[in-house]
Amino acid sequence: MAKATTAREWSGAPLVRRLTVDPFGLGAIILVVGLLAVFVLFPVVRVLAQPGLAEWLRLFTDPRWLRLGSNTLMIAALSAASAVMLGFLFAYATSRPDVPFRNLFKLIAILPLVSPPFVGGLAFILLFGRRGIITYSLLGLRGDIYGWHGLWMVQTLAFFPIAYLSLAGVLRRINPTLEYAAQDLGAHGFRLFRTVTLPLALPGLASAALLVGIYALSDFGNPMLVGGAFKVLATETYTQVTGWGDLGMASALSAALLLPSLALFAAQRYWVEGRSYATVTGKGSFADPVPTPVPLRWALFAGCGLVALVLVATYAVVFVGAFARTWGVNWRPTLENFEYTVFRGAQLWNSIRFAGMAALGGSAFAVVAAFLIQRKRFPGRAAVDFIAILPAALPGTLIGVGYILAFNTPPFTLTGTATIIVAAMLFRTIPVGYRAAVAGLAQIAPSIEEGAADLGARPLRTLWDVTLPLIRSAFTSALVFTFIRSMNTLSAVIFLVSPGTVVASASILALAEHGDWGQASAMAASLMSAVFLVLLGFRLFTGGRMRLFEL
Amino acid sequence: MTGTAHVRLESVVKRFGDVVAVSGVSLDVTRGSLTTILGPSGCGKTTILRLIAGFLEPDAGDILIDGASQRGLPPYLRKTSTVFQEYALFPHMTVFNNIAYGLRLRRVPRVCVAEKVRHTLSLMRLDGLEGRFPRELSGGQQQRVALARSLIVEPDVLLMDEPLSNLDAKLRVSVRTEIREIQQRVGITTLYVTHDQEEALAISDTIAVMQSGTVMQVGSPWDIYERPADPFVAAFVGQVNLLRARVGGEGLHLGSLRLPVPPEAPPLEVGAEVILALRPESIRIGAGADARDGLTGRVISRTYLGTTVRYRIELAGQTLTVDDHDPAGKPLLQGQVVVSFDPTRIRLWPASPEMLEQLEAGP
Amino acid sequence: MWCRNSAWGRVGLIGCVALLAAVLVAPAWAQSKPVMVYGVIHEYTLARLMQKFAQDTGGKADFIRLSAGEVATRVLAERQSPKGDVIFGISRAIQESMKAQGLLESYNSPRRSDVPSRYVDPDGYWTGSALTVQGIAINTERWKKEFGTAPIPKTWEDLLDPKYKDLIVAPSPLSSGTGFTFIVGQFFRLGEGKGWEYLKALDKNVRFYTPSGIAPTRMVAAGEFLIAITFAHDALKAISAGYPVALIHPAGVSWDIGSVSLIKNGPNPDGGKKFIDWILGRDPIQLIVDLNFEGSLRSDVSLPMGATPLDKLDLVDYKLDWAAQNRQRILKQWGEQFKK
Repeated sequence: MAKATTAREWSGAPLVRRLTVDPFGLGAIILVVGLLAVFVLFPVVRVLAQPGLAEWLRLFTDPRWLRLGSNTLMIAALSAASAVMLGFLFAYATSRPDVPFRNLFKLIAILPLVSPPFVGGLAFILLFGRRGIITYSLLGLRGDIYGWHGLWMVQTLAFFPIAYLSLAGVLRRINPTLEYAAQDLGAHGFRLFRTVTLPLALPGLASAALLVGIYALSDFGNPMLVGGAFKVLATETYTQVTGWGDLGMASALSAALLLPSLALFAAQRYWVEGRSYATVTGKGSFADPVPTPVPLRWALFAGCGLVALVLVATYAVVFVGAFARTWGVNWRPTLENFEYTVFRGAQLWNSIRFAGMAALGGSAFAVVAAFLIQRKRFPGRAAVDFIAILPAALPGTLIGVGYILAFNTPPFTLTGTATIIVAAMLFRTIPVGYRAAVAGLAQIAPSIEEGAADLGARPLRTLWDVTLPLIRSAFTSALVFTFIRSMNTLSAVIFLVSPGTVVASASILALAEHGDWGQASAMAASLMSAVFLVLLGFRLFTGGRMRLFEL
Repeated sequence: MTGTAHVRLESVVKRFGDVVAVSGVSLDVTRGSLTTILGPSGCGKTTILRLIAGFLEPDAGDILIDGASQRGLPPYLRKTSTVFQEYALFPHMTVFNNIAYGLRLRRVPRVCVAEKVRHTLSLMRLDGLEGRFPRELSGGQQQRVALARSLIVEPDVLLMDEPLSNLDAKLRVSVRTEIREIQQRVGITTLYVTHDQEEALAISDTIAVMQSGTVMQVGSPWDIYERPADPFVAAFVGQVNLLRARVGGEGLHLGSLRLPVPPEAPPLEVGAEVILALRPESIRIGAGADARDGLTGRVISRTYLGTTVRYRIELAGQTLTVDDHDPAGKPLLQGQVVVSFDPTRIRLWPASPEMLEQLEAGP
Repeated sequence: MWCRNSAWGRVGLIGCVALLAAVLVAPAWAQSKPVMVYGVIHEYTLARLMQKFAQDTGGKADFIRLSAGEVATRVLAERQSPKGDVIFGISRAIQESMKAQGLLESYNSPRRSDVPSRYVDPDGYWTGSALTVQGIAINTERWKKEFGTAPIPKTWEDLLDPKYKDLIVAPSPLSSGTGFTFIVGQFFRLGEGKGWEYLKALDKNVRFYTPSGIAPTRMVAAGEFLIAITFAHDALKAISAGYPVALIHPAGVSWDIGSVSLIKNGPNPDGGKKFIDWILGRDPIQLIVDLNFEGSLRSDVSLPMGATPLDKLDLVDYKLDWAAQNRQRILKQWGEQFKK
């Protein structure tokens, strides 16, 4: 007779009775905790346990690693800062109804999200490299983009959508009435922005910066393509595994990457989020905001327009490359490049089906976990809550190395199978679905579930009839986001692919590295198209009722 | 209490951490009655309702419905039905489905469900709204849907948690009358929680006044109003004048004024302090300064309210509120006035330190 | 739009999800065990090879393309329960070290006799299938623009000219077989001491070292850089695709043998043996030559287009055993000295 309603109830009945009398609940808790322990905790523990004392010593004393560490931190900080600024520009511009073409900007801003992040790096070389269309053919510049400055630009463009989405949500939840009140008291223009809008958005800015920082830290494909002599920890982990076969050192490097990642994660979750000034009603926009001064309007338009042009050019170049016979040499249109995509269509299909399974399984798991952890009392609840969102702090390379180490021996021999890849994708994206489900659950007034119980619904029934339908939108948006993320993931799976389970993102990287631009572009274009189709299908299915990516 | 108690609370105690929300409350609810628990916010009345509904378990004591202990019984197994303060309608279900929900849980056949719901809809004047969603309804309509949903499952006990607090003032009067009519028609035992004393007086069979986790008095509206058990109850329900007096040899000393001891007063020691309660409408006021007609006082302020004139009078160093409910034809008074009243209308209690403290603290 | 509230809607959804999951998952388990090949040569060629294997023998083979170092690591990591059957196209030095670690299984294919004995491991752990030689790749268009009619470099020492600063890219030996073959080639040409000196001098002109072996050639073909250290077949591929690349073989080029081995305790050893027998045959090798421009060790296979015949090349005396034994030490030293 345990309760499935709010956890605030049910004081007064002993713990054991609560748990044993609700076998479904108990079983579910054990399952969720068990899976999280095996697929999230265990690999991390394995990675931390792998290096011997010698490797740890080398990590802290070898100047090469120290340099890599400072490189990594530096580029992450730079990219986070610029991505947040760019993201704020877009978020602010698209939040003012009187900025021209703002809906177009909204659409373009999420372009980088629908493709693997390193496609940006690839396209960047094509556009801005030494023989890039823009830098060389159009502007006749010399010099190249390899190195930290090129990487900085690429990462900024690749990750600013994350900042944009986060900030758009923050701005949307700030009550415009505050701006009206400030105006009423005499503030306007820049002063209004500086004293009212910006301070209210500040926690959101900090939060977005920390989020992007985590992405930039674990970025693997872009530094490989564009970094040149500037090496970072993520790519070095890769080299350690593939070049030296030194799993111990790779683990040590992954652990080194884990530290700043965890720090950012903790800061974002426990320090910044608590200080949000957004109104918690979660309602959408209230009144229209104060009209934007005309010069500012056009400045916003120009800024966003310029960035949008670059973005569109970036992804257009991929499509152009897909149809060109030989990049940079023979621009005759051809379908030859797609021959490979079709020929190795299994890889694209692998991406789709693995991402699909990860999305379905992950979202369902996340919803169940959120429900159990948020609504039921059991010992260690807070710890399980933490583990459920921990994957958001784990660099992809760490997950990859961890999974190889953890799952290559009985009883968990999963290497070489599709299961390991699906598991890596799934558990990597659990935090997204989990957080969405938790937010959704928080929005359900407790009395609604109490009402169902009051009318005679047993706990499972309440879950089915009331709770689940009310978090359906959280579930669906998590589904789509997880699918896209899994389609584009590279760093986690690159160590896990094997014959028969190669995925498109790994294949694109391999092709790009080999100089098969045309084929790489063709496969990248196919991957992006697949993602677009899914987004479109989702939009049709929900009849445009749900906001996804602020659209 | 006479008659079989339908719902009985026996010395129920409920703690939240260090705070004792309900401390040893015992209450009998008569079958078919509308019993109101009345009290200020934080007094524990909502907690009692949730204890009866099953969302909370008592730390001590018991709750019985028809003599059967409800301890350990979860809400979905109790025969109670709750109307929540925020209505708690299922936002993703239509009005029809909201109301039908309880019936479907009980596996009532579809045709029956449809018929019952239709019947209830017209009973609650919700015809035509069955396809709407809660967010498309007005506050009053939502409230009726909530009530319909709770009543349709024919519970033994109906629990209502401040159901009118989200409605605007005018609506409250008409809706409370409706609720009372429905309750009487259906004859269902109802436990009603509110902080609005006018509401309580208007619709209840029995009122239980609560403060800080304890029940101060249980009685009919008349009992509560005319025979309050202590100054708190007297002050909470309606307007009252609370005056301090001392017991003298021949009567009560109100400053320099002399009052007869009311007939129903308890035995008093000479020299003891007492607190008197006098309702504003039981005082007669007239012009004049002749002490033989009554007590003399002075008008501090007056408020003309149409049906009433409310005077604030200074009398023997204390302030008195007097309501004249029949001001037609009389000039409005000012300056020296004479007040008089029927001694049987005075309520009197020996002054305990707590009472005096509360008196000092004010309303 | 299906009813939002009805239980059937939700049951139906769960049913769809379950069905979908079954469909997605089924193919993974429905197949019979194919031969798993870890291939180091180009992905497209590998794909065509697998296709041809299926056509010629009816057996099924699947591959994953990894760089040489990755293969070594993966087989090592998987030694408790190997997932691969065959390694193909890998450089001998790495195979020797794998053999020393006990990761390979000896198999004397009947086809071994088609290959000259110096390209075959006497113990049977690997069999050579292709000959790959190194060289210098130069982007001729850029050359014309930047150096006009000046003569292109002909020797390794020519590359040390300061005018090539930041114009050269080379593969990193840490992660690519190409890189390793190049640096030990210099050791064999000059002796180890002078070899390190050469590399240090060259380092001044190198912009950076790429993780993958083919990246330098790719970048030079695209015009990103001017000069690359390359394998001949990579350069030839670019040339045949129409890129403006010239391939130079200086005196004392390093070379390698792409070879095939059987992994110990693989899941499908019989299939693996069948694969090895097949791939050493004339048609598959010809396919590799045509697609990959590698040289063949079989006498009955023609040269790749544009390749210099073997007798015109000055190959270094590549001491395989020495390279294999000293690999770890060399790599460590290189990693410490060269930071790009």
